[in-house]
Amino acid sequence: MLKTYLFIICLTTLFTACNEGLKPEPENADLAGKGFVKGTIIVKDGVNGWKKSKDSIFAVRVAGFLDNPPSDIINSVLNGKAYLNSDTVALYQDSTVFYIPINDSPKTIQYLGVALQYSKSSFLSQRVIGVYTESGDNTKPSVIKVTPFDTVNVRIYIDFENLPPQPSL
Amino acid sequence: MNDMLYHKALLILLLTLIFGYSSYSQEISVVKGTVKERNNSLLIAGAQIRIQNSKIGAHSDAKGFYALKNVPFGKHILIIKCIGYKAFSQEISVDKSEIVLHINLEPLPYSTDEVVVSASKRVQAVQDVPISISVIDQRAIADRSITKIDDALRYVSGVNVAKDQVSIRGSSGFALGLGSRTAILLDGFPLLSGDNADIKFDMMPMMDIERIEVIKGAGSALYGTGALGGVISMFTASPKEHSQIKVRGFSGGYDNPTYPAWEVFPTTPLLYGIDASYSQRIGNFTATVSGGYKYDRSYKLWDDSKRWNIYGKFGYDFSEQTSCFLFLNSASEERGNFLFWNDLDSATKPPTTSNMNERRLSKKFVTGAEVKHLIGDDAFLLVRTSAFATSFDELNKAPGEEIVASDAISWFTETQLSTSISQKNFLTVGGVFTVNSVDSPTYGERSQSIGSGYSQIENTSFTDLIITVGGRIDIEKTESIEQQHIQFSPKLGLSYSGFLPLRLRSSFGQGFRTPAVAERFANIRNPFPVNANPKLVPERSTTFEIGANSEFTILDIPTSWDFSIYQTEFKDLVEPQIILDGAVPAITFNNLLSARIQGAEFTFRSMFGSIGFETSITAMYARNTILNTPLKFRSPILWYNRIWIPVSEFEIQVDYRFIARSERILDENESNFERHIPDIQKRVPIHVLDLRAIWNLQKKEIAPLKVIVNAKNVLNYYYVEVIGNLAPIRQFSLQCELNL
Repeated sequence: MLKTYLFIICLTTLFTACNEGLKPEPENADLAGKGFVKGTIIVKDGVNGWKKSKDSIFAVRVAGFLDNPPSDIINSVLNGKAYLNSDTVALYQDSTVFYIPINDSPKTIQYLGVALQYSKSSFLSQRVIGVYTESGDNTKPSVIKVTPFDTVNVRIYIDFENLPPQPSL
Repeated sequence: MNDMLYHKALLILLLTLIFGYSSYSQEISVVKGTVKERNNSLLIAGAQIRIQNSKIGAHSDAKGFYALKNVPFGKHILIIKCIGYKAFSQEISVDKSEIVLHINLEPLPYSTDEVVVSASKRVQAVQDVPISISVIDQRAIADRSITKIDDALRYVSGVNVAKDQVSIRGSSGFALGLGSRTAILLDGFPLLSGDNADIKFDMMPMMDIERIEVIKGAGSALYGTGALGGVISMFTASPKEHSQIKVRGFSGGYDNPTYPAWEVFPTTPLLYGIDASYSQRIGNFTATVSGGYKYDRSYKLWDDSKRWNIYGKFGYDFSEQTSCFLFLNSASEERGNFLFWNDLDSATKPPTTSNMNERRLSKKFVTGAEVKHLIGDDAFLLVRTSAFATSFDELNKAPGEEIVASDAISWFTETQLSTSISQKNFLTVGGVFTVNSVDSPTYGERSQSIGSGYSQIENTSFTDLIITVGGRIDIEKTESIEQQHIQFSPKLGLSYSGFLPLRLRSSFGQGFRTPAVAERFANIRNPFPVNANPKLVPERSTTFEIGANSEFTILDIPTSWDFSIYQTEFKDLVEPQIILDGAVPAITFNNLLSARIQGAEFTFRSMFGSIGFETSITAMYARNTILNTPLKFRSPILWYNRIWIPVSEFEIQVDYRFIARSERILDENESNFERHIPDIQKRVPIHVLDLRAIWNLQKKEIAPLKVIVNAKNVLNYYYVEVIGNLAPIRQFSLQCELNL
């Protein structure tokens, strides 16, 4: 009997540690109840597809805008009107994931694009290499509606030999 | 009459000879059978079987088979011994030409009659050693299916492994992976690199390693520089008469992180690998060849790695007295250049300014040879020499970017004589010469030479007491700096067995470590500046320890325990110091630290029925004696636990480790470094639970196969071992081992 109690105590003690430890700060409270866009970026020709980029690659980020085509992109980003992650997604992979919180959902994202930073020193050196489109035509971005507590899953295809139209900065 | 008597006598003699010969030939028997483990029928190789008070004996082969030839008819006592099993004896009655006797041995939860080599550079009973030493023996390595040396060390009492850095009883903190304070040896050859003096875990031939010894406390009296905190000594297995082929493959993946913000791959990041080994003795020649390839995509971006290694060891016995071996070991690793996280919110990603096209390439090659000559029953002379080449480079850097790279060779030669000088005194003397040559755009062209001489006497004049006295002198000189450092490292040890089963020990020893070339000359700009400091002097340690251990049986439960208390004083410790270089924090290695670590360690092992249990707890009080603050990067409590539950050919193993949160990471004047590595101070106590389920088909002779399901960090607990690095999250793998 004593052994059983000890066993249960040990198990309880151990499993209280399950999924515990360090946590990303936003997970604690900030993002509770907010919406998310979660997606997968798929590169044509896989890992070899990255070699077809005519630009140097320093970072690749995903950004969502409330207008299409997005206008005044730099100011939108600087003023927090765009939805994006400041850090890059995985480079040189055949596919990679991204995750964007939409803090003020519900919102309708008119344009979700993938931007490549081609100069290490200049954040302004960006080129759009993919957009979210359901039709497969990268000149026609699709709309995403994000509601609170909702995570919208999307896929964005990148073809370095067929880049989408470049919005004005 | 005389003739008749003569003929009668002749007839009796002839009859006696004929029947005597006949009966003699009938009175010879062969006793044969197999040696197995009780309860699960695992075949045991290497068990010693002998007839008491005779020279008749044999060892069981790989299939557990033994045969004792020429056993006279009659009653005998058969004695069977094997490391890791309870000694067994049985009276046998030999009354026919062939006796089949199958033997079942009872496994022990720990190895008694264990021998160690590292404590005195010669074979010794572990009970006679006056210092704290842990042994991971062949059975533990095989039973736990250990594939990486750091996995083997993670549950050794008092040892803390953080990435490629090993800290024994708090000897090391965080030093950017440079300047190991633990010496590491493979078959007696040192394997610290010539430039960084770091440990290259990926090159160790785990398939062929049969024993790992961990010496705790200063060990420079025999091992010189690097043995400031202790020594890890690995030994490869000797090939057997029959060929041994081992193939091991594993495949698995990392679980998704609980927090989507840490998710970086759309599919499960995989890891897989394969290793193979062949060994055999053919006459006087022995050969071991092994190799492997491993891939790990990692749970972090830009942290994937591809590794391969090959190993070969070839021996030849010139005579019963003289033997030699030559070995070669080569390994290569290409990996992403992940150094620190972006911040805790994106802990699986590197800083946003990273060029993720960069790769890090690391190559290692070591070759060495040893000649050993037995001078008598208890004396030998050995000469060993080796060259250990390492190189690392950064690939795909953007034009004009700084490349951190280095090529180094560490040349090593040692001569050792171990001999009795009287009935009560055993002498070990030796000389060592080491040269580290470095050619690097980061460290410059450097040459560091160290000449050493050591001597040790073990005295057994007093009943039940072994006294060990020794010392070593090292003279170090590095070209381009006008300094020569002379170090004397004495040692004294007492081992007393007058109160059996209680054994007492006490030791005093000093250690030192010559700063690595990288610590003195590193001149790096990115990711943060590291400035050279050629004026660094060797760091020193003094360890004092008393301990006791005992092995006994209570209510048929075999039990052992070991307890020790120790104090280590460190002087001139070389630590990375973070200072402001303009607005940017920069690192310089400095002799700025004196420290004291006081601690106690308790290990308990037992076997309740068939369930094995081991727990060890190390408590440390580590202080910076200059600032009178807690010593940085030291955990006050290390608590390791292992349980193994064998059921027939199955076994469940549970490993749990708790490492208390280190009290201090940065000093007050170093807080600006947080701007460079955000959330650098984020850390938690560590709880890690590893599970292993083993299906050993060898035990029932079903197939020479072992299937293992591994689950590491089952609790998916998130923690850091190294600042700014999320430790491995939950992972699962399936492992298959074929032993032919």
